[in-house]
Amino acid sequence: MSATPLLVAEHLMKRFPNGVQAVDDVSLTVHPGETVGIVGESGSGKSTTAKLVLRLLDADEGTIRFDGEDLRALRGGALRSLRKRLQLVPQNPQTSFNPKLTIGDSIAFNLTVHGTRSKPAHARAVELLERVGVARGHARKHPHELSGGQLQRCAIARALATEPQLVVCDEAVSALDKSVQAQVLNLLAELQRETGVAFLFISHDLAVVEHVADRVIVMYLGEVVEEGPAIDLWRAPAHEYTRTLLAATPERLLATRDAATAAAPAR
Amino acid sequence: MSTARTTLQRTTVDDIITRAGDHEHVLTVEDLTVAFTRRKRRIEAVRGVSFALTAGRTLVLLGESGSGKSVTARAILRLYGRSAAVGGSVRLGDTELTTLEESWMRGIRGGAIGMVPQDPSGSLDPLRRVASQIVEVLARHDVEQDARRARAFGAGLLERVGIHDPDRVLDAFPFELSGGMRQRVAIAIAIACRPRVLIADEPTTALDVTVQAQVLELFTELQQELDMALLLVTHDVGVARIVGDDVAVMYAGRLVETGRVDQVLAQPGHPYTAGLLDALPTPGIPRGELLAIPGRPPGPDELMQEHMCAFAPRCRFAQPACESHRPPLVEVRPAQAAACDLVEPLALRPRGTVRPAASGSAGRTRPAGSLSQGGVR
Repeated sequence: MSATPLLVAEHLMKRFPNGVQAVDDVSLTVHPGETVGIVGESGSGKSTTAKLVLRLLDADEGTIRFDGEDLRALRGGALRSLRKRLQLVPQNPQTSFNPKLTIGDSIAFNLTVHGTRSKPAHARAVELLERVGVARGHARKHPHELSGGQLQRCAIARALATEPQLVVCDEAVSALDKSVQAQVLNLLAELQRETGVAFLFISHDLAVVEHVADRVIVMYLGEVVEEGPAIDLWRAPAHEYTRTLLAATPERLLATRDAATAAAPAR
Repeated sequence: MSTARTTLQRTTVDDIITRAGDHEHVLTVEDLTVAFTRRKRRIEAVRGVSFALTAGRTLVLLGESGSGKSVTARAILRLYGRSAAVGGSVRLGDTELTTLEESWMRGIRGGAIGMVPQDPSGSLDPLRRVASQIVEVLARHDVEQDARRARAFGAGLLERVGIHDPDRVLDAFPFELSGGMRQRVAIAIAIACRPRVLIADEPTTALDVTVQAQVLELFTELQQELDMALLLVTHDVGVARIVGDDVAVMYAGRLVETGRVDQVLAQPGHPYTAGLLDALPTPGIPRGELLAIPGRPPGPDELMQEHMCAFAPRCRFAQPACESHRPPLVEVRPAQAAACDLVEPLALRPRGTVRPAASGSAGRTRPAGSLSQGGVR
């Protein structure tokens, strides 16, 4: 692991106008090529944290340094050019693609907006589609013509178009069928090995996060309650909430039930 | 059928419900087909599904999107009305439901057969307080006509589903409650008339994992207490493991495997069941090495050849024969049936809690480039 972190967010605070303290003193670090998972239940602030990091929302307080630059101080063109290196794969590709544009146009747009000319951008879009396992002919199709799994691959292609250093995956595989989800998880792992991209991987699915993440941050009501290497967290969770969360997964529930049945033999 | 109808004329809905309790199988579904017509094309969402529910047991209908599992559940209650062509037989005890008069069917829905939907915010009336929605069900099924007593009854129901301040919840509108609370209210309404059969369609999918655990436990408790047959529709293998006694795995509108949950999930007889289990991220599997099933599940609107196995295009064991006939559901082990020509049990990828350096895959080869074939068919 490189000594210089790619992303350092410190003491982030965000309160919404309705008075909800969505993010309460959250700090996180992502190293180049690393996958950091954020787990938590609905309302824990995991997606808001992602939006603060992407500057889709402005933090009330705290600092965000991305590759040495003060992200919160950037404005206009400087922010735009930094966004090239910081991309997003959203949860629902059906709503994140412009329904009136073809898939090829949508992906190419992410390049032309950063100054690439149209023709090479479209050529690159087709290359990227093939790389993520989508037939090149799909570049001419519209989002509604593709399945959820196909479209999520396109969203990954779009995010990788600008050769980013960090991609935020916000529940990026949650809407997919399990048989397709495995394909997309394998694809993300392969792309990471190839390009060295880092992922900030947000999910409510603990099994998925355990699988993809090097380190995991557990959030509860806007705060980080536990942080550590994925494997340690699963083996020996330190915080009460992490234990509750893990104990509620089907695998652990079953183990508990089996143990209880074994302890209390037939009546 | 004709005898069922003549008997019917002499009975009331109450009798139907009482008699259902005398049968070994409280609900029997036989060769159920459900077809919709879209743009003048016939779309078969369910193609010949058969199963039976027993009091006190849970059957899990397991499948991915478009497999027809929810359509099956809804067709039992005839929720599609005239928008679907339903074939086959659905019997509550000995009473045929597919041809039952609509006025009687209204007594069955919410009476003999309760339903818990996936998204309670869609099934509860947003403009009415919880109390009036519970009281309505009790009055409709003649459980309690007196408004004050019905409210007290409703409070009892809410307590039963784990709501500690029933009076506050009774006076609340659905939007004032959390997702977990709303689902508890929906469960309370579904069990209000002590149904013989409870159908739950993805009842915990919209809930957080800690709330899901509580709701699943509630289902198990209620089922034992009320001696109901439970039909639980889910895409989640973990949920199936926790609540299920028996499982029926659906793919492309048909059952591909049935049997006891523990047996089927430990020793699947159909490659789709095995593939679904292998695709799950499990501790011990190195990153990027999940055994994905190539392609994607076919939707009901995709034309499928009737004479072949629907899973063959994605199956790693497919033989030429799989494209020329469709294997029927046959017993592979006692009390376990699979619709596949393969006879030997399928070995699952070994699972452990420790990450191995490199894990083999127990006699099964991982399809090369599984990610590059994703769904482009």
